[in-house]
Amino acid sequence: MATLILKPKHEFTVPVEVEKIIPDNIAGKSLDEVLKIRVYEGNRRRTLGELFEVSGEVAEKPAEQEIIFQRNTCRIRRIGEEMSAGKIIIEGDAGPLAGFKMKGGTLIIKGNAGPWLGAKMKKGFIEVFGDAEGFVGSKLRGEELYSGMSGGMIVIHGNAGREIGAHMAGGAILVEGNAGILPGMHMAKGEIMIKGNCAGWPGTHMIGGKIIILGKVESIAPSFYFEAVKKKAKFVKEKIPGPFYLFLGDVLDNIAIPGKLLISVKNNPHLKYYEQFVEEVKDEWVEIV
Amino acid sequence: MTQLLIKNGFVIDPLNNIHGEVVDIGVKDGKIVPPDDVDLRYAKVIDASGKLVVPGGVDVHTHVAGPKVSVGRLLMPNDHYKKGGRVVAIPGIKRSGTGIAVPSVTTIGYKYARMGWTMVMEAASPPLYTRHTHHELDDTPIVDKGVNLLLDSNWFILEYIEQKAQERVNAFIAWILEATKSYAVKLVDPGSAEAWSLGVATKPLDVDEVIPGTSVTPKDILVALANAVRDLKIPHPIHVHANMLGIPGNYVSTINTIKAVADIVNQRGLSIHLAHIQFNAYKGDSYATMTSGAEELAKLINTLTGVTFDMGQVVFMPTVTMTADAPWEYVLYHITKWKWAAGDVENETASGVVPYTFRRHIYTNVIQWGIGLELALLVKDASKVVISTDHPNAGPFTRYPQIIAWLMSKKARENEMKKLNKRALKRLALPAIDREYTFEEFVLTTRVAPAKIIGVEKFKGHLGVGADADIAIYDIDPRTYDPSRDYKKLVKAIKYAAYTIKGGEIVVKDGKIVKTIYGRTFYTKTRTDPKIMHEVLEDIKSKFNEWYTITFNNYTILEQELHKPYAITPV
Repeated sequence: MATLILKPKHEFTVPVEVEKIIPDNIAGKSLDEVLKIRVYEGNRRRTLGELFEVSGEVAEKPAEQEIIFQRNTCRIRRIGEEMSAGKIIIEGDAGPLAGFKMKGGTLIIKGNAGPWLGAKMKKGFIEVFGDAEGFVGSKLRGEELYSGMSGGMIVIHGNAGREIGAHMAGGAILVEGNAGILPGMHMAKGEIMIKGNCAGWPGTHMIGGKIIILGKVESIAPSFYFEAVKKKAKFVKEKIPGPFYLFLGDVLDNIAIPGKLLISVKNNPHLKYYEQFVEEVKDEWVEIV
Repeated sequence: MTQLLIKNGFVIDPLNNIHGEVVDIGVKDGKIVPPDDVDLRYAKVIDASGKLVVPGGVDVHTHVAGPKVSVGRLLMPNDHYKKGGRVVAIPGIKRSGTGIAVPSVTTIGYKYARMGWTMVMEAASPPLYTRHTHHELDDTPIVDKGVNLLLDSNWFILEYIEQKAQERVNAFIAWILEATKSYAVKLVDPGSAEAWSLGVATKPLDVDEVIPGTSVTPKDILVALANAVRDLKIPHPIHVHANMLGIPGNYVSTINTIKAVADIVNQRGLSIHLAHIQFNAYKGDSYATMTSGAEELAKLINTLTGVTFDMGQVVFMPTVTMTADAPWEYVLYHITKWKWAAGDVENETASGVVPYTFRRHIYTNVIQWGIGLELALLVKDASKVVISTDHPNAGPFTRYPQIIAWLMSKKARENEMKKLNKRALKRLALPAIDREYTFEEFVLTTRVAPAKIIGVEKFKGHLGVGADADIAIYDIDPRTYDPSRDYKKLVKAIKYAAYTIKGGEIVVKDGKIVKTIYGRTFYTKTRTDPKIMHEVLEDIKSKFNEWYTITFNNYTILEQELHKPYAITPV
């Protein structure tokens, strides 16, 4: 694997857009050609060579290319946009829209990630070792319903912000820390697992998909039906031991094909109130049969 | 000032009886002069050999400024992310902007100029918010502009019509056009907007229905305003968005609208301009059985000399519909079920904004696409037809080159039809129409006809001595080039004009902006009987405190609030 290392020449004071610096664009070119690739610094057109110290080598095929961003990278946005193969490593923090519309390959962020990480992602793998801000794997503002992330996998080892997986239509998001409010808002398909706590209202307006929360959930939207207590859950072929409360909803949007909320019984004693409804449902069911 | 000499260009200028000749054109001090008057020592010479030289384009109906355009931008943030709409700033030459369906204010001027258009008319501005419209128009670079004022649901006018006081209607219109620095009278679905926002009308009204809460019908409003426009000698005839827009079977309403005012002819022989007629030419009783009413309308328009229209041609892409026809937008929102913004302008009108995507596989959309072209091709006199997409309702104005190609080349239409819904095509007359527009008809529909309708044909829409030096030069030679075969070249040539000259300055060269200047804003200053004017003003002032949230003095827009106002006084 050939590695290309990019170091900012000066500290950026305005956003820098590097959507063209992806393995698909770089592989097969000479180093001189790579230096001339267009990037934006604020509203000014620059070349890669003007803003970054570039070292390392260029691979023949995109799949063999590795790109490493070093030093102060927090103002660099749109890293890995529409990349389809290869690997990008950010050794610091990433700005907004890292992995936007990603089609394949691997994106690794060793620091924190900005908002809209992996937005509208189609395929590939993103791993964040720090925290991520809001709107992970969601769609952009104003776009059509359910046009968020449609495939691939995002793993966040830290915490995540609010509205992760909004308008998600496939793929999986794993948050090992806590998550903000409204994870899986308007979700249509796909899976989200939050190992920590959730600030509230998971899955509001969801019409499909699955959200698993192992920590404490402040509150569930009232438009969810309580269905049963499940012993275990499944997240991307992996079995997660429970027990879990299973909620179905959101009834405001769709009753025919509901989304699933699986919430840990152990960490949520305030939801025990719902358990009384299990028996009732069963009794009614027997009577009808 | 800059002097220019355009040499050896192939000129088409129907108003001056130049039907395709090689003529030199001189430009001095922003006006066209005889070529001999140009001092060659200081002049810049443009070699236009093998190129088409025509007057600058004029757009008679486009929504480019005002509150509802801003709402359209707010409602469609996704329109501004797209790569195709981005205009990057070049310091000292042009400013930046984004957007495809509803572009930023600054980029609108650049995009028009790049196609060779040099004058645009904002189609509908509510009087109360026209100050906002002027602020945006002042920021629109290069093009000349004017404002059509929404007057159909105004409480004062409705009251005067109920009293059958025509001279008071005249005086009110004379006052409000000058007070808001507007150019012409616009009617949108006459009468229904205000009745709808009051909650007394629940659906769009037909021409003969009595407006709930009043004793007048839309027809009365049409006749009263048409009379006022004639009596005040306002250059532009009434600009009408007819009743029942968008509803199948509405071609009957359109015919009734035309017949109601066909006899009221202004001093220049025009009686009515029908805006985006495509939306008002539907036959059938539901969207599933909707067919084209273009033949009936074209037959009627062919017999009347004073009726003109613009196409409102559909192009297949995501757009944002925005109109003062609030009841129709409410209906459309229930069809699309996505986003909707509605607005009410106190005492004056209402509005709605709904995003919509025209799609090639949808039966109704294909019928709509066919109707616009059918109307343009079935009406024999091309000087009654104006090309428009009713920007941004049926598509952005940047698609005019494509529409021109559809009109000038049957092959272009056939290639498009291959991708369309087959069931809809079977019910259209368009596949059987062989007519192709000539280059002269292209100049008529995009330059001469709109300039005549707006009433500025003395200094726009032609290249005679004394006209404004608004010139477009396209890189095509009609002597050797046949648009019906190679229509893609035509699209490219019109999309990126070789030169656009505005007010004697070269603003576009090879499809790129090279200079930013700002055009004038036209408005109408009419005279009316001072005694009645005094009475009406007293009436307005006495009711203003009761009806409006702002005071009478704050309502009036002063001339110094505009960057470059230009009053047109009818003679």
